[in-house]
Amino acid sequence: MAHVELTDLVKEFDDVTAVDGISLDIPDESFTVLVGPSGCGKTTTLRLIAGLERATDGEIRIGENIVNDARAYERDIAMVFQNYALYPHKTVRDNMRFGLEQHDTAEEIITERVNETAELLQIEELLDRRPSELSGGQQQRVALGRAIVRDPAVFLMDEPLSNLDAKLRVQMRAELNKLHEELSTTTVYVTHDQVEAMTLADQIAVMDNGQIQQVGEPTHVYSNPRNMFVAGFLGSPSMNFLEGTLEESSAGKFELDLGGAIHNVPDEFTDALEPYLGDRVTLGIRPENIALNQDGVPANVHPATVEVVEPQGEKTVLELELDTGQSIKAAVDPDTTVEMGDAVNLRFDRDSLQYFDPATGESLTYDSKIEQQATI
Amino acid sequence: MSTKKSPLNRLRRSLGLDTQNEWPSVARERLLAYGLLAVYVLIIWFPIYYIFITSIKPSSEVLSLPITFLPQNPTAQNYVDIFTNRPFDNYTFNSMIVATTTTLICITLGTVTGYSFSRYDFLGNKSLLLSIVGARMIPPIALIVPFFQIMSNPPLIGGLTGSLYDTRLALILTYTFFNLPFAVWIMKNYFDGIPESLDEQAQIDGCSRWEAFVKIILPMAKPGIAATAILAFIFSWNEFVFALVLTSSEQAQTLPIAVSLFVADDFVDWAHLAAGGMIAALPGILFGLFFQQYIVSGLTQGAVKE
Repeated sequence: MAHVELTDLVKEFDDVTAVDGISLDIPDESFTVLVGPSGCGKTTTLRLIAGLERATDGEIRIGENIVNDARAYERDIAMVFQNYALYPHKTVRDNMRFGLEQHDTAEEIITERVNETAELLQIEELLDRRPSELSGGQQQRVALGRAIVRDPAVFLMDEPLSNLDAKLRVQMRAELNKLHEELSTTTVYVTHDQVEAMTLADQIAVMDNGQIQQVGEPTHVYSNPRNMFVAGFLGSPSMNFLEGTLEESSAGKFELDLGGAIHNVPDEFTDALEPYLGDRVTLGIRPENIALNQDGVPANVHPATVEVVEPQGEKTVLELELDTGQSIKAAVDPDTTVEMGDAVNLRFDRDSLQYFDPATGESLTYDSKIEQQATI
Repeated sequence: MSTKKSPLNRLRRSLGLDTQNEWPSVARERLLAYGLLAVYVLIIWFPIYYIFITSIKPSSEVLSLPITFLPQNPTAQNYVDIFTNRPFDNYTFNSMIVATTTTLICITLGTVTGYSFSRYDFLGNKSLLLSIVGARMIPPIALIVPFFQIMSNPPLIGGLTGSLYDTRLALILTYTFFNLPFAVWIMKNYFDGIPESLDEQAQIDGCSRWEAFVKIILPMAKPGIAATAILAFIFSWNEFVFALVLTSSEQAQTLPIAVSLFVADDFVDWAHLAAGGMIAALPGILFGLFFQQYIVSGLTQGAVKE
C-alpha cells in the first residue's frame, strides 16, 4: 500500500496536450476518483500512473519511489480496464494466476490467493470457465479479481462499470465500496459518471481541459464549487446559471438585475460581491434548491411558466421559463401537481446561492476554508 | 422433447420437410438451396474423381471409348511405376522441403512484422506497409527474368561464387518473396482485431512487451497464423512457372514440374500423369485440413466488452 503523488505532470501527444501540468496528492488507502467529461485527460492521467504512457514532464511518485522511468510491470500496480481485457484463451483461474506467475510467486501462495480472492468476489464456481462463457457482470468480477489477487500497492480503474447495465452498475458500485472498506488499497478510479464519483470517492478530482479544476471531499466540492465548470458538472440535473447586472438598491442592498426581474442578494455575500458592483455576475442555483411557491412570499420570488414536466419517481424535474425569458430547471417533490403551461412562483433557497464571475467562470463566493478542512 | 434432436428430425428440418414447424415457403427455399449446393459439390468433385479413376486405369483403358466412369480393371501399377521409373520420391521430398520452409519463414517473419505494423506507430509505417504489399501487386510472371538472373548469379557476400540455379533454396527464396507481403498484411489485420488493452494488461501483469506478445497475443493469433500458413503452403506447393524456370533436375524440381514431365512432344502419358497428380494433390489437401481446424472464429470472444 502506498500513497501516490503527481507533481506538475504533463503529457503531450503530437500536437495535443492531454494532461496540462496537474498536481495531485492521493493519500494512502484513499479512494480517489478522477472525474470529468470525455477528453478531459483523466484516462491519460491514469495511464501515466500505470506506466502505459510516458510523462512528457513532471513527476510521478508511488510510495517513496519516483516511477517516471519505471515500466508498468515494475510499478506494483494493478489495473482494471473499461473493456476488462481478460485473456480469452485462458480460464478464469489462469487469468488470475498469470500476474502472480509472472512475478515468480510460489505455487502454494498463488493457489491460496486465487482461492481467497475468488471467495471474496463469489466467483469460485467460475474458475474453470473461459471469459466467453461469462456474463458481463461476471467478467467484471473476474477483471476485479485479477487485480485484487495481485495485492498491489495501487489499484487503477478506468471506467470499470461503464459497460454494465444500469442495475448491475449500481450493485457493483456498492460492492466496490465494500471491497475498498475491506482491502483499503489505495485506489485511483476514473469515470465520467458524476454519481459514481460522488458515491465512491473519499477524494474527488474534477478535471477539464487537462487540468484539475478542484480537489476535495465529494460533498464539499458539490456544495462549494470553485468555478462554474465544477458547479455545472456535478449534479443532475445540473446547476442553473442566471446572468445579470449587480446593482445597489436605494436601501443599500445588493440586487441582481436579471433583465427585468430583480434577485435580492443576501447580505452575507455583500463583501464578496462588492468589487463587482455595476458588472455582470452569474447566479448559480441547483434545481433541488428551488421550491415552488404558489402563495407568493414577496422577497426573491421569480414568476415562471412550466414548460416540461418530467416525473422521475423520487423527484419531478420541471423545465420552466422565467418571465425574463431565461430557462431554468427545478427538481421538486413528486407529489407536486403542476401541468404544462401553469404559472408558478419560484423561490430560491437563500443558503444555497452561488455567485460567479461570468467572464472567468470563477466562483465569487467560494470558501477556501471549507476545502482546507476537507482535505486535512 | 428429445426426439426433436434425432438425426432424422434434423434432416427433415434441414430439408424443410418439417411441415409442422416451418412455413411452406421456407421448405421450398431450403430444397432449392440444397439442390444448388448439391450441383456445385458435384461440379467441384468431378475432376478430382476423374483424375482418381484415370490414375487406377491401365493405360489401354484411359483413352478407350466409351469413357468408363467406373474402371473395369483397377490397378495400382501407375503408382508403382512413377516411384520406380521416375524419382517421385525426390520430387515429393523437394516439394515438402520447399513448401514447409517457405511457410515457416513466412509465418515467423509475417507474425512479428505484422505485430509491429499493428502496434507501433513509427515514422513511415503506413508507406512502408503499402510498399511491402504494393511490391506483391506486380504480376509474378513479369519478374521471371530478374529472378532467373539473380538466382543464376547471386550477389554473394565475401567474394564467394556459386549459383542458386536448380536448388531448393532458390525456390524457397522466391516463394518467400511472393508470400511474405501477404503474410505481413494478413497478420497485421489480425492483430488489429486484438484489443491493445490485452497487451497492456499483460504488461501490468508483469510482462515485457516481448513476453506480452509471446505469452498472450500470439496464442490468440492462431487462426490468423493458420490462414497465413495455408495460403503460403498451397502457393508454394502448387507453384509451377518459377519452378520450371529456376530448376532443371530432380535435385530441386517439385511435384508440379514432375507431373508436367509426362507430357511429351507427341504423347501424353495420361495414366501416370493422373497418378502423379494424385500424389501431388494429397499432401496439400492434408495440410489444408490440418490447419483448417485452427481457423475458428471467436477465439478472441470474451476478451473485452465493447
